[in-house]
Amino acid sequence: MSIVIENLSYIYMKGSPFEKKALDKVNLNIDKGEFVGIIGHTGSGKSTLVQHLNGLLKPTSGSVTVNNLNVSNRNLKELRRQVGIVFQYPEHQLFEETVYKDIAFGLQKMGLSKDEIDNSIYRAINTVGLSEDILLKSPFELSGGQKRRVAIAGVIVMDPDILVLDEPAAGLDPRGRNEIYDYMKKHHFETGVTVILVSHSMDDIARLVNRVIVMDNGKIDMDGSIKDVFKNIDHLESLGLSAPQVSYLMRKLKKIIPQIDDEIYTLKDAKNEIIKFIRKD
Amino acid sequence: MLRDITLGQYYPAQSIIHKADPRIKIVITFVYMIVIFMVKTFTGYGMVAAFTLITIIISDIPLKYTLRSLKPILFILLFVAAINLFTADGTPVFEYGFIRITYEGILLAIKMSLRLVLLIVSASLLTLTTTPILLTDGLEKLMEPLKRIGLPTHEIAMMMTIALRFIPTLLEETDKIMKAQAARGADFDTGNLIQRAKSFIPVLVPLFVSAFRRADELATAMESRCYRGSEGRTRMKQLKMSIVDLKIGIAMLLFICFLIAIEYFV
Amino acid sequence: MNRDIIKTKKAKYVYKASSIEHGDVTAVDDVTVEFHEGSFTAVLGRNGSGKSTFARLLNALLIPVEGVVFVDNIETGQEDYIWDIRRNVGIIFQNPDNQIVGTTVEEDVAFGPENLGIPPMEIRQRVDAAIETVDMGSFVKNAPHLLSGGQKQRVAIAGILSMKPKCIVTDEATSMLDPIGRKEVIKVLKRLNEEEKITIIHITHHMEEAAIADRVIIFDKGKLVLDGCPKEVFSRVKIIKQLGLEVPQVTELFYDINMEGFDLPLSVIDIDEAYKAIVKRLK
Repeated sequence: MSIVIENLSYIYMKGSPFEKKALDKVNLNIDKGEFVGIIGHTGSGKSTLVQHLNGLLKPTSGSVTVNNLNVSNRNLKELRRQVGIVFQYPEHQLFEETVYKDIAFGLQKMGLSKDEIDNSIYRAINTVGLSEDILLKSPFELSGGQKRRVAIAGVIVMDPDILVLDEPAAGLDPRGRNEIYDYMKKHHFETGVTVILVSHSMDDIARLVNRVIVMDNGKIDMDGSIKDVFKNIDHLESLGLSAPQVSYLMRKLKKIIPQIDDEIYTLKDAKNEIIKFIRKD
Repeated sequence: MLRDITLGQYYPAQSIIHKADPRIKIVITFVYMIVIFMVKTFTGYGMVAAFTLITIIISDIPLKYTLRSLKPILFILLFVAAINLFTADGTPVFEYGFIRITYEGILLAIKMSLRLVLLIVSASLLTLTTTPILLTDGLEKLMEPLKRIGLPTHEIAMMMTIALRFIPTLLEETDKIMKAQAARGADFDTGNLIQRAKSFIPVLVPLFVSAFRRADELATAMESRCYRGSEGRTRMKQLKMSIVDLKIGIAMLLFICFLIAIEYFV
Repeated sequence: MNRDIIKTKKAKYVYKASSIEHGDVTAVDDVTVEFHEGSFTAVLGRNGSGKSTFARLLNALLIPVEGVVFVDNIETGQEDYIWDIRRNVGIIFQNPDNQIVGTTVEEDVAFGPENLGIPPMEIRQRVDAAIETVDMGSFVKNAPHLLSGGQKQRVAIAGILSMKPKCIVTDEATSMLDPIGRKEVIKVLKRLNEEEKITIIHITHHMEEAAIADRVIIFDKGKLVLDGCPKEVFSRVKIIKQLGLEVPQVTELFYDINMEGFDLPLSVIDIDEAYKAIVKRLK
């Protein structure tokens, strides 16, 4: 188990009139190498949960252990290296004069040689599909999509075992979004890192992850495979969520074609299933 | 840490003081603060303190909430008290080596800290009982005569409104950026003063960039909504002095005259 | 026949180079298009395709360097009429935080009419009505930073409504919102279009939002490349994909199925239509 969460509760501004329970006795295990999606409407506790994974937030009660490191410990250096979190709109954190320096920010305190730093940076920009000639440019003169990738590279460069992506494609156009996800998928496939994707897009979740965790009101509402979770469309909708668009079509078709498989959540599966039942003409 | 700032935080309630005209409140607070500087005797301090306390009670704001505004200046408060305590000449009550505390010093320390506390509390009372928008409206109206000598009163008021509107947004943003940089290995808590100050560069640069972007976008949005300065502009909410406001003003005036009479002529 | 509320003729806009190494950027290039009063148009295009610049040309925030833009038959370059133009065409911007000026919801909604010099009593009526229209009645005195993204954008819409506009342009106003916020905003826009006959020009990345419009136009590299009703435009799946955009998921499904030698209609953009088309062809 690389992530073990036991009875985790978290209360914002405890003791003030604005006190709010954001997580309520959450239990969760995630294995090394999993690609997990977390869904839930705004305020369901997703962000609070992932911020516990590298100790940005400390449990009010319960415990979080990542690769045998307890996040309640005082020294978080090793934990922060092992858990990389890419926040929403990560390009807003860029600050250095050059892309190179910005990506190197996290590496500086690790006591690496110049060569090691260079190698890590080359690998990181490759992972996000940028070319080397970008390294000496100012991050502020790049396009929105490029900035986003530089910021992601700045997290990946630390070579984390666990990569948390919080809406990494927010605000990008369709091609920009697909590119980011394709590179992340490839990175997961090649390195076997654990990836945790927080997203509002059910289509992307269905396409990318193996396991879905549904958060509601600070609790884990469902936890299972894509099929296990998305077949409960009505329940998801009661939580303010939805299922991928094709699944609504399949469900509708099931009513007149009883033998059709309606537990289908991606375009590819839908195509293969529908083809079985229609004629060419 | 960033949430302790009470200044500029409105506390919603329905008291007379909340409802009073902001212009009256601003003028009274201003005069009152001068009065606090003028009182010298303990009787005077007692009266001012009692009056402040009564105002807090009338305003329906929990005493604890009002006193929270003192937290950020606690250090200054102790510093002022200490300086007065140790430096004043007079009859010694305690002597040890070079440390010498005098009777006069104790009195002075109490008076000075009390004065500071009263000043801060009365200023906070103004901001706690008046919404930021009314506060700026009131200021704009009060400063209006200064327009004739070329002071851009409308622009000043508009800038204050925007600052008040964006303070919470920028605080939130600071928190976000700090978290993002901490996740990348930034360390804000260890090292000496210079190292710590340096560790804030990765927070300050993005914050400035973002503030400028926000300013630019806000200006475009304002222009798009037909903003063109004060010329030909009307306001939805008109400030109106009521009889109650007048009574509050007169009551205050009487109290201040009484206080000064006691302080200087008795 | 409805009259045109906005018309552009060969409109072009160029951002001047900030330094020598960066050349001038032509953001909008030779665009001729007209919008009927009361229509609902979706504008699509990649980031940097010129959509936002185009939006800013529509209410005289920018003036075309070549060609002309007419709003309600007034040319936007005429400075004397600039406030009439901006009152008639309001823009909702992308970032909900950076367009709210007031420290409470009602103060913000009053900002526009205050700038127009409308008497206080009337501002009050307009503000109340506008807030009611966007369903924010229970948040009148709230501070903006405590609202959700969708609520902030609805406040921004109310802030435009209080100026009684003929047209609302949204510049990716839903792109920073969660699905619930997006639905709220779309619902309000749709209602304003249907009930108040306000012309809507909705710039977006979300194809399902474009599918509910009467018309879809697509920008690429500053030029208008596709224009038609959603069915017409989205049926050109191949071109749209080449432009780096998407079509609604069911359209893409049909396109993929057709690649296997089938012949489903590509003019299908929602689940009901897709369902009917499949049922027709069952074995």
